[in-house]
Amino acid sequence: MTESVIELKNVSKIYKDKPVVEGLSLSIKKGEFVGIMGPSGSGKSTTLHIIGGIETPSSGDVNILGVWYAKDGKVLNEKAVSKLRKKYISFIFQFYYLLEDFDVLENVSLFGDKKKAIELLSFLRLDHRLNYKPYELSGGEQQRVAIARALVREPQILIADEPTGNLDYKESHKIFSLLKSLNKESNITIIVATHNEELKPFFDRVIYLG
Amino acid sequence: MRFKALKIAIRYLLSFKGSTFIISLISFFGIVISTAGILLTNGVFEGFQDNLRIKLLGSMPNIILTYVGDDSKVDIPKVLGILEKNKKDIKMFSYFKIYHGAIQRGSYISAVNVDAMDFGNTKNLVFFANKIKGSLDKKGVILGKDLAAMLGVSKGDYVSIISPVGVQTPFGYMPKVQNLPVVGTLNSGIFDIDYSTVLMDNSFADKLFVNNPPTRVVEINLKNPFYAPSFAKSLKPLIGEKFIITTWIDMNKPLFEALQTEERGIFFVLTLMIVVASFNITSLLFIKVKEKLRDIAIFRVYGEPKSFIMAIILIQGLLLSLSGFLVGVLVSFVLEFFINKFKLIHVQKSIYLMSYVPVSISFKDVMEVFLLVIFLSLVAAFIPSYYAVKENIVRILRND
Repeated sequence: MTESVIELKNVSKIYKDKPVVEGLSLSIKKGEFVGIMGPSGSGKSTTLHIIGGIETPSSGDVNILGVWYAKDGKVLNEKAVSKLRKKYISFIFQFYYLLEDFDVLENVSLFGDKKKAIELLSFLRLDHRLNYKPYELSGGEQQRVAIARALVREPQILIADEPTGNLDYKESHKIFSLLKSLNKESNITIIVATHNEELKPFFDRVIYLG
Repeated sequence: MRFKALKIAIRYLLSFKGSTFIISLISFFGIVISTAGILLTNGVFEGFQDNLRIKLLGSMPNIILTYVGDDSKVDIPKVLGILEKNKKDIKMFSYFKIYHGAIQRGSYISAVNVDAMDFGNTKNLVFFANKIKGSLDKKGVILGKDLAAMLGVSKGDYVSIISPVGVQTPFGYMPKVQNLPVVGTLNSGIFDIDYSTVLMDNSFADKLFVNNPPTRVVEINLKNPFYAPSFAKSLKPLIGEKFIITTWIDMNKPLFEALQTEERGIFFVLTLMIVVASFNITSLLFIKVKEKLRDIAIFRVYGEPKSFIMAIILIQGLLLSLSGFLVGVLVSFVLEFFINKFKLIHVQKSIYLMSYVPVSISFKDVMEVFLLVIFLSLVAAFIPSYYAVKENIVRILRND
């Protein structure tokens, strides 16, 4: 039986007295490519933030890679969570969040090994853009740089929040094909939040919220 | 991690958007001007004090041994013999006696110190050699130039030297008066001396002041005047406890302490300039942090600790201050060169013993300002760095 890398038990998150996530329980196994789907405001991003350890749940237990991030109302201290993220978890966001003052290679190598960064950027067909600044790239290229940044540390879990939300159909499919092949080849657990039903076939499993 | 933080800090510091360029320039020049301001002001004080020391050293002995009292209790030849043996440290020394008397010319009488010395022995006149205008006639007196001017006498005129404890009578001591010709004037450059000193040959003085206990004085100049305190200390056990030993540093202590207090006071006031310049750094870094909040959120999402984020901001503050400090030091040294070369700071020689004030920037001052700039820039950068790590990552990402 494959081990769980993420486990949420009865997790809730309340913002200003308004529940965003309510009594959510889920388990994600190693190497799974999971989609979290649902309409806007259903708590997809919040769920990803909790899974990634950047947001604390209001109640419930959260286990990430065997470490209790939240249990019995207590939350792991920030230093330990940062270490956990640095070592095992990477993120991709809808708006890429590349560092404007750094070129493509620096955007990746600042988060890991330079040699590995060049390899990844070549693999993602960005070797001709190494010294370009993010604003000189297309949306798809920027997202590929963000993917390279996420992979340069060889994470065990990759969390993607609407990674194709800003891209057209063709680019979206390219990015999802890439994520799928990474999932298969490197056995990385990938959790993607999206509201795009067309991308559903890429997932091993879909969790609906809301 | 440190080099990565340094690399990011440099890149952010050189990234100018909108008003940050102007604020960066204001912050930079604030540090440049305040650094140069403090260094030059302290340099003027240091230069003034150094020059004053040199002037004072040229006009007064480095060490003075004085003895007042019974002659039998001190062995002057023995003391002079000890000094003779210390030629490796001593440049010159002289021995004389001081009698307290008065001088009269017409109806004017003034209290004077009569320095009695052997006019025939040049060794005893080493301290006055270049300052006496006239002859060293044993039958005459040499007056301080201001005293001569006040009495209205010149070479060849007669003055009366009065010994207060002169002749013993049934009614007590009566003053003894001797008329002597003025044979020269003394110009020491120090008003107190030139206004109240009379030089006399000791053969005449000892007879005139026979009933007056003299103050015995040995004046010493060292090869290194700054060695005076330790030399004086080493001399004490050799010459005995009877002598009062005073160094030129003791004599001028109040003056230099006053100057140093003033220097410290002005240093403190000018420190406020750096404080104000540091406020600019705080404002600049707050703007930079606001601009880079998204980057900060990404670094933290990717597991970088808070200390890493704080380091990036603190390094920016430090780099800005250090560059401003270095340019400020350079500006100070260039200005120091020109001020000294063209003697730009004039003062009245009759008051300050010098016609211009040189600037002398010391390594100590540079180090003090350096430490101050480092400390204040760290304090200035700490506030925005603390603000940066206190921001909620999720809130930053959601706001985008």
